[in-house]
Amino acid sequence: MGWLNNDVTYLLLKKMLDVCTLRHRIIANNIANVDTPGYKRTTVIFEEKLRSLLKRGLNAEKIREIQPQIYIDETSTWREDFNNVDIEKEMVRLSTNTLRYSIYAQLIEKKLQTIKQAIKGK
Amino acid sequence: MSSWSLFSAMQVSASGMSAERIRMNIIASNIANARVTRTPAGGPYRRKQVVFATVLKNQQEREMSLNGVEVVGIFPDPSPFKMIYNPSHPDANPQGFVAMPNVDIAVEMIDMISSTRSYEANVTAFKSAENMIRKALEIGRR
Repeated sequence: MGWLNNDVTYLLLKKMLDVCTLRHRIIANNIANVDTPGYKRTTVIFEEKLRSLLKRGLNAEKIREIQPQIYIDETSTWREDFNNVDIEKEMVRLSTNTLRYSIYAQLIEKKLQTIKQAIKGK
Repeated sequence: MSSWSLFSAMQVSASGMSAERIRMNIIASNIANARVTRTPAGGPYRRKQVVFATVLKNQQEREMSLNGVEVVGIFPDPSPFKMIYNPSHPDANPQGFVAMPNVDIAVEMIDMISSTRSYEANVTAFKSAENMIRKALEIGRR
């Protein structure tokens, strides 16, 4: 499947599924630690990196190289226990992330269906 | 990066649920013992509280410390007992005061609501992971 592994759309969708999985893990960890004193929330930075990459032009090699970055948000300490998890924001991020995952999974499915159609010729 | 699977995310949510359940047990114990003046250790019941900590797999790499939450201990509340004037109570001191547990029902009820909500948040995260896995299984099915 060498040709498919060099397809920009396919590679990018695969990458996005990986990023969503990582982000889910990070959000789940933030939610689990909502009552842990002193815990600092973590986030994933990827879209910003992708955006700057898009401006410079995209190819298969660049997509393979780009990696999501885990970032610890140490800044805001408005809570009395120095924990900075905002449960409402995390829940919104959680459902957004799950929906995004569904979108990417469906797009990959469509992509593969198109290829299948081309092979079958109907 | 390969270790970040959805199944490990489910473990993280499970750790959150487990920790909240332990917290809930302790709250229930505090409420049930809110008026207990005699304990095996002697004296009135002392309020207990749980302490949560992030699970650290590797202390050096903070990026690896995303393994959920655990209860590191159940500690007694050192605040003083409430002295209630009730000379007819068998445990009253010569001045007529009874040392009652340092449990505040209102505080316990608020903690209980907070714990329930946190538990529900973890359940939601768990269900999301489940839905994501189901979506992934649909790839290449047709």
